[in-house]
Amino acid sequence: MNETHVSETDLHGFVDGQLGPAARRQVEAYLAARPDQAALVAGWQRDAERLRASMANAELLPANPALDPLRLRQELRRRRRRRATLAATLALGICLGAGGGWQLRATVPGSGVLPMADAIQAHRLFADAESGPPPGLPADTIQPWLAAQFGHGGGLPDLEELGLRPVEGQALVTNDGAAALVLYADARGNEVSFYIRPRPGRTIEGARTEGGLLAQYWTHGAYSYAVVTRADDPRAARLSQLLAPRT
Amino acid sequence: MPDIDDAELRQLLPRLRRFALSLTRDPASADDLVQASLERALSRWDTRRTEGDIRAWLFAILYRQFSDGKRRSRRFLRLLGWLAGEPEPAAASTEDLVLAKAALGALGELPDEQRALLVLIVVEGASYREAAQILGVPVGTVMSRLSRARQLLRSMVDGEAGRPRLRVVR
Repeated sequence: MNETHVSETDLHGFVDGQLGPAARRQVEAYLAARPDQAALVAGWQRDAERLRASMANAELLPANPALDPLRLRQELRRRRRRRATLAATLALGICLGAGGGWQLRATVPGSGVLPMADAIQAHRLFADAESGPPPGLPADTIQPWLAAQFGHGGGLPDLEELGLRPVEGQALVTNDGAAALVLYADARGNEVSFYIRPRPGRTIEGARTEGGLLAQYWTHGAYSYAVVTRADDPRAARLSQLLAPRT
Repeated sequence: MPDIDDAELRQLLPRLRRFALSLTRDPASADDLVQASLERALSRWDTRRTEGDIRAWLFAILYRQFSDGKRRSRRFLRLLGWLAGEPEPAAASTEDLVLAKAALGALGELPDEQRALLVLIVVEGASYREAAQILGVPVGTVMSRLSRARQLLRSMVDGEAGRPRLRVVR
């Protein structure tokens, strides 16, 4: 073999075990004939060994529970909700705390009687991470629970085609009786709420935007329904198509 | 598309932390970096291009987070120094920092990108192609960087051996 075919790249490949058998033999032959190069490569090998030895104890780092994937996922979800709430609150320019809400209601004519105000409130309550969201139902128990609460009206919509899966259910109370919110999320963590409540005195149907959130709502049988998304969610139109005729 | 498996992540965790430690040279910052990287990975697992190698994908996210953060903090430090009329604020010197540096030895003295490359190839056993993918550079750059890193490490180790050792006297 011709030693001129051995490049520095080959020498690194030799040290790092990234050569095929033929190339490896070629380098060995080369090094046997070139003591200066052999000394250089031996130095690299010693450095590599020392480096491996000094970093071999990956497991010795003290355990850090904050890095556990499960905990990280929970923390991410909490933060997403906090962001959604913050966005909604900032857009509205109000604080939903004790006083602020009432003051605003007094200054904005009619804001207290908007249809499906409770759907948007519920979305916020659910998303409110200041005190942590209220304890919810795990995804697999949502369907039976809805059916038990709302009978025929309580079918859990299948939104898989939009990449949305139910992640949590929440029981709520309205002036007209028990209500429920089911939170769906896609792989990116974008959330959509499906809301069901007893039909109020009148039939309500339509859509409105409030604080960066879009509520689309309709009434069927004894119940009224809403789907709440971010106002800029491109799936909003498809969602109302999917949901309204079915429920 | 399948979700990232938590068990798989847990298995990779020690290696991610080790890589992060070699970059930051400070255990607390290393875990911050790992946490930020995992959060990024978990919130965008669906953008993962290839099915196979989760390790390379995670390492790449971590390295990018590190480089971005480095740029930001350098800008920030410069700004702080300028505001305070100081040349450059010194980094906090904790016992942890000293220990981490001692463990890394001469490696800790290498420029960030050379240190990252050596750890990937020598400690993690990454191929040159994988390392290029993780560091976001062409394979040619990996080879020239590897050459410089080995030369520099060699000269530092030789220099240390030839120099009388400093002893801490109280």
